[in-house]
Amino acid sequence: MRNLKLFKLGSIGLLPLWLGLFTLLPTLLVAVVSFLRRDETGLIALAPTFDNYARLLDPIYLKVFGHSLWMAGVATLLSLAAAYPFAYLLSRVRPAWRPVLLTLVVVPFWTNSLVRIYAIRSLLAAKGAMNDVLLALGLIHEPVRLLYTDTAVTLGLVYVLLPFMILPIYSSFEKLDQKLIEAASDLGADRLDTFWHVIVPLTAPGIAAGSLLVFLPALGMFYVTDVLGGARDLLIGNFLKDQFLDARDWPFGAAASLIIIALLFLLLELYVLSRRWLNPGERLDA
Amino acid sequence: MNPAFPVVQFRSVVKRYGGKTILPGLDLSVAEGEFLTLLGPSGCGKTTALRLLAGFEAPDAGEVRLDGECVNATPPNRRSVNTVFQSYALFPHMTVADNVGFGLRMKKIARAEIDKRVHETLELVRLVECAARKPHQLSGGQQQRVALARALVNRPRVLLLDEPLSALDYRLRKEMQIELKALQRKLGLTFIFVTHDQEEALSMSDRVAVMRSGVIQQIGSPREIYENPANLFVAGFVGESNILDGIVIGQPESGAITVQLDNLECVLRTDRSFDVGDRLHVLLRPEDLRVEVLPSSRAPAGRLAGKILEKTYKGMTLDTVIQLDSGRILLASEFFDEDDPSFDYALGQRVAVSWVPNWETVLPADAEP
Amino acid sequence: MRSLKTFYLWLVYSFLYLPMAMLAAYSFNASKYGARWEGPTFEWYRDLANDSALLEATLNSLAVAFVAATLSTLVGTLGAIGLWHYRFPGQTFLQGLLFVTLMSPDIVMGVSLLVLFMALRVRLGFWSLLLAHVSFCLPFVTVTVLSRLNDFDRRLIEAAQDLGAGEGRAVWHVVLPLALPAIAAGWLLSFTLSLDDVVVSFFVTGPTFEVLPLRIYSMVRLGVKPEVNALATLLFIVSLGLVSVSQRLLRKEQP
Repeated sequence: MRNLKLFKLGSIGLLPLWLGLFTLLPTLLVAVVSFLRRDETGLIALAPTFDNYARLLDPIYLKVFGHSLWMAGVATLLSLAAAYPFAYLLSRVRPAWRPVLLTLVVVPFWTNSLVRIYAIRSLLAAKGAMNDVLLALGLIHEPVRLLYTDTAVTLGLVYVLLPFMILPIYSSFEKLDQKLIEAASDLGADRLDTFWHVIVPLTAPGIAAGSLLVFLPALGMFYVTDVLGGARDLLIGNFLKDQFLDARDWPFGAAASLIIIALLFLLLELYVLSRRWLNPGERLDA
Repeated sequence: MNPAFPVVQFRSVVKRYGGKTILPGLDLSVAEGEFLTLLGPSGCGKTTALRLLAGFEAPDAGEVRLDGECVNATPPNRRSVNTVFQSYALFPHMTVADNVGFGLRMKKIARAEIDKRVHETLELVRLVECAARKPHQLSGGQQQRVALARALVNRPRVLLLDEPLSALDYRLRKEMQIELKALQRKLGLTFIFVTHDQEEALSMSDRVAVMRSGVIQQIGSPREIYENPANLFVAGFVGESNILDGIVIGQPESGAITVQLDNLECVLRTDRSFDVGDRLHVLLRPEDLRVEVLPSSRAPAGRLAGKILEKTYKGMTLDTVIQLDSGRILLASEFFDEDDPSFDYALGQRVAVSWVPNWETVLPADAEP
Repeated sequence: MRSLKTFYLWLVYSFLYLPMAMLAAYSFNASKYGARWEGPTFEWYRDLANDSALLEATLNSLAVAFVAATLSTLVGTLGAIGLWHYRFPGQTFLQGLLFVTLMSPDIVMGVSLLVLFMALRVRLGFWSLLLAHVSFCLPFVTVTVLSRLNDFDRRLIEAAQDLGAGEGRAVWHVVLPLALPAIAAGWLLSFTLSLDDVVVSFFVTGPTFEVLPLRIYSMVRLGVKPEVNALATLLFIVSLGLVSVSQRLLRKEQP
């Protein structure tokens, strides 16, 4: 009986305790730090201020944020464009093949993303395969600079994050009842009508989830720009890394971090709202 | 053990869920070896009563007694009752034999004894050849019998069945009704059966308790419930009923009243006491009505008159919807007469409606629950 | 039309796999730079085996990944059972928190945990890394196990209790066996996530404790190196193995 009480206590209490200590508390600390001043000797001085947020409005930093949002947005749209037809086709593949093909989508998701970015780097390098191919095809006459461009960074983001877009969209295609499509055409909808009025709304939860899973990490993946880009402060991630580890201006970095958290909540709220709007009565599991 | 001694007793049992009262005070006794059915619409509290007895819920007030002992604080695993769940709740990771033996393993009974009893019980439900299969390899009816065997093997004092047949198709349900009843007679076990299907309740039970909003409306043998419903709810829930409103206009002798019923003045016998001027309801089962074709449009004395609105051929019976001259709608269900195979009505045809005296049920108008 | 569809599927798979396949090919290429094939070699793999700093980082990573996966599987499984089996106040909030943690970008988690460890005066090294890794693995395990449990009828526990099992034995004999494939898959996923993490580790590890991804990071920043090709190939094979096991575990059908 005592063991049981302990079990119940553990199964109810341990998870909230851990999340409270290592998710909630640190976030609160970041929020507090973002309203304090920098101290040359001890990192932080206990003097309240709004300076850090005011400084974020400086055009230099606004540009960093704008650029990062733009890059993440482009990466999200490109992933969506590539993943949507792919997920659809995958869900129509013969059932016997599906587990294998699906596993092949999951493998990259489980592979070290740094290693994968490195693969892109060696592909794009001046003496890399891409230049060789372009030379062989006669499209160029001497190696061109492919690395250290925004395009390279975007390509890297899409390469690393594409499986995160494919998987949720695939799962909403898998749940899509084929009869609904038949019903739509029975009721006189042509293929385009069916696509816009039946298929897209029903797979919208997958689109929304996939977009979140690509967009949010894309803001922070500083190592992608470090390996493929070269320009500093291209993504918010690089900016945060600089503030916390190089410039050691924690309050300023904390303010930027809090902006991302606010963005996270905004997007999650939109996501939950959109799902509720599309599927009233559905229970949202974590 | 004294057969009249109640195995199960609910004493003023109250159950609330978050401010909503499901059972306002349930009193119920179930005798040894009895087949009792709790019948009612969904949300009437019948499943809650079963869960209180199984121990999945605790009462907010009152007592649940098993063999005379209060079991309010006894957890489900220490109660000698077993449940057949509506969804069967078979363990998907165990074979049929392991499912059936689960309860015995929990009681730490010797392996050989477990094997023997599992085999016997599987024989009882005719599933010996499926012992090594997993639940998902069985048909719905077989899964149902595994669930039954899994409960029976523990030789419970009371077997609780929570709508166990609702997932089966019509034919299988009929077969299982007969099988369940036979099994209960053979084993002499006490069964408490929960259902919303009145036909199922009437055909299997020794006693039926009709429930509504957590209150037992009537408890009695299937015959009593059907022929003498205690109120309009029971009458409406168990079988189909025609309800006519009337007013008492005289009392010719004790045990009889003169009633103005629709356009008809008639004398009815009743055990209930009425005063002149009281309002009342008269219940008539569709199969108790007699319909006769009227030659003219004149209403004959002593009978209700109307016209045929709708007719449905039912194989054994011809069912008609009749609109009385007062506008009220009656349902009638008449057996085909062997001597008159062409027996039929035309739509719109004038008819008179009557019934065999004393086959009606008279209820006071305030008996409306 | 049909061939167009097949072509598109192939195109995306090539995009996903060609760069990795090329790395694998390079790793056996005798040429130190560039893509030209100059004959096969195992030299780069030999170099790897002799790189003691890399080996130490690998061992460190494996240790952290093993302990972090085990701890997060324990806490996550318990939490999932708690969320599935019990009703308690704040449950919706907890589910929400889990969801937010799952979705929150690594960078935010890394920064926040760095601030926490500094505030609590935790020395950056093995312990800070371990706590951080458990924190980002935990929601994945919980959600994996919970979604498996949600496929089952909640009445199964009641059925076990009805048949004489106490709550503890009901969990042991029914819930755990049912959740086991998801628990194992959760462990594998955590192990991989921990081995792969760059962003969070970057913030919360100290100079005395180097882990594999950060070691790779410093190697990769300096340019293309043939040993890295070999290392990448090895890591890719490991992931391939782990994924196959996990996919087999999570198949919907019962054995």
